[in-house]
Amino acid sequence: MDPALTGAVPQLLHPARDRLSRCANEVHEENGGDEPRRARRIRRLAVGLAAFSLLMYFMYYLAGYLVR
Amino acid sequence: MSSEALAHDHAAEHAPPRGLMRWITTTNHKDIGTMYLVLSLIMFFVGGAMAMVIRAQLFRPDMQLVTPLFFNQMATMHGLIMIFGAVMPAFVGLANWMIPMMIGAPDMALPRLNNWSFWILPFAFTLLLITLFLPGGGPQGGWTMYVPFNLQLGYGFPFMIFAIHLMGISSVMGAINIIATILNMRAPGMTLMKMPLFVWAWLITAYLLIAVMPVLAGGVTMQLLDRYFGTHFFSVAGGGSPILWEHVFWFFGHPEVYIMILPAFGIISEIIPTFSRKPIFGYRSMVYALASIAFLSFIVWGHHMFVVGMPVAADLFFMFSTMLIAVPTGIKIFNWVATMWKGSLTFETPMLFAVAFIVLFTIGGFSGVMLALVPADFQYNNSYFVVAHFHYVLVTGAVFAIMAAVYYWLPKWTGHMYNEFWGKTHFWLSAIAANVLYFPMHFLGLAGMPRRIPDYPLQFANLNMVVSIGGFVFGLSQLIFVAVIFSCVRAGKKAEARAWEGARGLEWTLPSPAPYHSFSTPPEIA
Repeated sequence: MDPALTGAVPQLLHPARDRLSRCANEVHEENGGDEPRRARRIRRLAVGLAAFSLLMYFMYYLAGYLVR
Repeated sequence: MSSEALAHDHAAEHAPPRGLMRWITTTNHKDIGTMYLVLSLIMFFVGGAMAMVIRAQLFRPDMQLVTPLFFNQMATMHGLIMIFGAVMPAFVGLANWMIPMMIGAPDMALPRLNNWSFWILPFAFTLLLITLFLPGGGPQGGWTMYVPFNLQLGYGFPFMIFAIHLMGISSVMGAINIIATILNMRAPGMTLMKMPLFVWAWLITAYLLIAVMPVLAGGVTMQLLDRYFGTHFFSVAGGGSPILWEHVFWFFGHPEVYIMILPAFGIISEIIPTFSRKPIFGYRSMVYALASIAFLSFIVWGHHMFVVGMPVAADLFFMFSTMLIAVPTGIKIFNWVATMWKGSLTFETPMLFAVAFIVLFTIGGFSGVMLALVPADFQYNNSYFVVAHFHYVLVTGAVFAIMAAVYYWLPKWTGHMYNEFWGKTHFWLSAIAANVLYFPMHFLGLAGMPRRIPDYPLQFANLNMVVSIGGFVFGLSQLIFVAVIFSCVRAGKKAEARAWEGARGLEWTLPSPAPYHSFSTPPEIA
């Protein structure tokens, strides 16, 4: 493992996340920096999908009122 | 620091902790996959024990082994436990174990979320199961939780609603993780159209989960509000409608059926090419068929409720849209058979289960098309014909696919080959017993035996006895499955990295057993 890559994500201390981010760095080496682009993309996608599921929850709750 | 020392530190840092804490705090996809699979196996036996109670009660007329009230609880809990506790966690477990290895990723995209997704489940099932010991007993209105039955439940009602919410949250978190992993963690060069079909099937399934689990959660919240907060969503007296529940439930429920079968399609699409020693026939059409089935699942829910008296136009729409599903499903079955055609076939246990899946799932599919016909459904509705149909789809379909997957990937998980003789014995006993168990149910249903009854007239006696014997043999034969798994974990012939000669795919490039961390350097896909 390249020490430069190991040090690239110091804020992600959890072993699995740390390891994951190191791999993200390897794949997106050109991006470098503290926050690899892929980690950001994963977070945005996860938040977006969670928001969508929440929307579905309230949409059908609302539909209950409308269909009454 | 030298690179050797650094590598050593790195390995030490990622060695799993020992004891209970390893399993509680783990973020490793293989550990979490194992926990899902173990939970699923336990729930399979809990739900199976309930099925044994049902079949013992129905062994002959006037049996009176349990009270009708307890019988209803067993029938309801059997459905809930098998669907949410056995089949779904098994597929999530397989996804956890295999998806990162199949796409060349080091782990799931969100490992801590993954840990949460799993650890919610034991609490959810504890909540659900303790309803059996509360005043008023467990849920009795069927797994569909129809109102007003479900609203009349005793102290168990809020426990059940909370349990359903927890299961839903777990499923949605798991689905988010799977989508994030597949879309972001693939090895360089693995385009979407190069992904294994199991991964494709799970990507589509995960979208289905995110779209429909909140619908169920919304529905059960409405039940909760009706019961405790004076709303009248489902109460006729207050201007609501019980039929609304059926619409909301089945808008969730039908895609849910496909959530339980699409990953099975993915598994079969991995196993058939391996033991046919040929690539899958019609890869692209398989992907499009999966997507079509998922899309159609959203517009067919009304076929579960033809008899409630919908407008004729709605009946016709739901009938034709349901029959349309036979097209992509037919494409898949054709492609599996075409893959086997002129292949160099061998019939190890995973292949036996896969071939049985194709034949028996097709039987379930045919009875599904029969049930899609509005006038015919008026006759079959609420009869044992329906019970036969969905057990062919879910047991000889989904459960057989899970068993095929376990036998197929067990060498990769444990590093040992399982005992082929006992694997095949398990298969033949299961396949024969499942047909003795489920096939006569078609005739019972056609003769007019309703489902969910604790007793029946004499005319149904003979076939019910046959069904019960099939049920007991099927249940007992699953003990062989457990024995084979345990013996394989402990010992057995050493498995090679490519355990099956015809197996292709990234997971088979890793040693057996797969190392605790796989693909720390992403492989290149040509």
